[in-house]
Amino acid sequence: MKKLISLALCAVLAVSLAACGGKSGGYKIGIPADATNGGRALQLLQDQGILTLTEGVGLEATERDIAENPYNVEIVPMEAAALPSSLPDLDFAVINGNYASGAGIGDTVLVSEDAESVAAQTYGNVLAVKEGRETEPAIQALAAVLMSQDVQDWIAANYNGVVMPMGAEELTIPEITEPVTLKVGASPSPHAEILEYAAPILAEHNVTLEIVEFDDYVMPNTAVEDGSLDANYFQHQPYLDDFNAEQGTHIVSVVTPHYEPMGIYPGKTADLSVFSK
Amino acid sequence: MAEFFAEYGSLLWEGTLETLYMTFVPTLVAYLIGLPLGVLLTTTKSGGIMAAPRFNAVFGWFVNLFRSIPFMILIFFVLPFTRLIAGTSIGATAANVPLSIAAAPFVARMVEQSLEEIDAGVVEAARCMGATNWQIITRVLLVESVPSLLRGLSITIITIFGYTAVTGAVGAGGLGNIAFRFGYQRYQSDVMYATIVLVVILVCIIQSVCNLLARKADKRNR
Repeated sequence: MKKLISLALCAVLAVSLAACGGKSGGYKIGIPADATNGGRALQLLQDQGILTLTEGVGLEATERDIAENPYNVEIVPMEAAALPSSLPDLDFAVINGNYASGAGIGDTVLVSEDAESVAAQTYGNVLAVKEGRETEPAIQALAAVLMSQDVQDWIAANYNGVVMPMGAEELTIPEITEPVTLKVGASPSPHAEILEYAAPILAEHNVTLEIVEFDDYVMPNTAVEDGSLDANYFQHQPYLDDFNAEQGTHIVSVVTPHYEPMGIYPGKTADLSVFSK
Repeated sequence: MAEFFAEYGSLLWEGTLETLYMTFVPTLVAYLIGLPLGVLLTTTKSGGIMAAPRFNAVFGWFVNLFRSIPFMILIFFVLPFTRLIAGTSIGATAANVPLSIAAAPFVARMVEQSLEEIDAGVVEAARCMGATNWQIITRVLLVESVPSLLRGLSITIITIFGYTAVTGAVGAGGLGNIAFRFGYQRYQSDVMYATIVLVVILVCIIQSVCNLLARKADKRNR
């Protein structure tokens, strides 16, 4: 009996070993495993002519929607934040700009989404406030400064293409006579850094910026809703829409200062020319 | 039904194999490491056959240290070590490393608990007959506790089985990952149900086999 069972166990092991060892494809490309980022990553790979997706799958594609795979690439979906540290074991990885810059590999990017792409337009990061406050002078001033040529140029110059400006917009800064303090929640990089750059400019217009850094994506929204923050700057529009729908909050976006393009980063293979044959 | 299997059959089959692979390899490794650790935990306790209470306290603390790290964090924490052992940090083979590391202290505690159940009189009797510590461990403690060890084995296997759901974070695949990515994130509830059915079947099989073995090994009359 024991022998039988151990034999059966061995058989199971052997089969699963063989199955897991045997599926090595061509180049390994890591992509984020979550629904939106994964789909975005596959779209970028399609834009680069590395693979073709089934028509009409949009930004929610999975590796199962690959229609043509001429270079026989193997897609490895995994935790988005784990991609930079897994690069030594992958040929390439499609990584969100924020994770790449956090991991200090921002400047190695091979190619990234441009400002005109659907992904960039959809996933631009917004400055958000509670509904009804978007017309307050201090908020207007903050929005105007973030969209100013000065700040937009600073974004373009400081992030090696990992964080991209949406393009400058001329917005008027209202006259503010009484000094105001704005409490703004932001992710540490790049949002808080951009706000820090904007702070002295705002100070000239009588607005003191108090930046509260968050590592979490729920708190900044609930804080804006209950008034303990005046604004936040960390999320993209689809996330905000989802959040409003699920939590019953009333938060609206004021402006979209930047987007964080996904880029293809080199792992074991140095450049994309292998996909031009 | 047939349509569903044509669409997702290969995905589920592959996931099942990956899950089994990530369950049994770490179990094996965890027992290779955890069994001696568990014996050491038991025998060095005050009143044990190799009593060394201070060592036991430090050692017990060490085991707790590894047990207290959340598994998701452990995966990323040991990434460089994983690369050293498995040659890669992604995929099912790589996932076996953190799984083994997480399971070994768990096994040590399971083994400790099984050995604790043995009547002190039995050990005393062996001692009186001139058995050495090694003989007591290999001929008395481990032999007498086989039924309990086997029951512990089923708990260990099923615990590791549960852990494998998380390893999708490093691209390891598996049933849990399929349920999460396709069932949960993309609202394909049919995939979710199919994986749940598969998981339940697998867990039942594991539990029954272990129970059967434990019953066979149990010399006591029940």
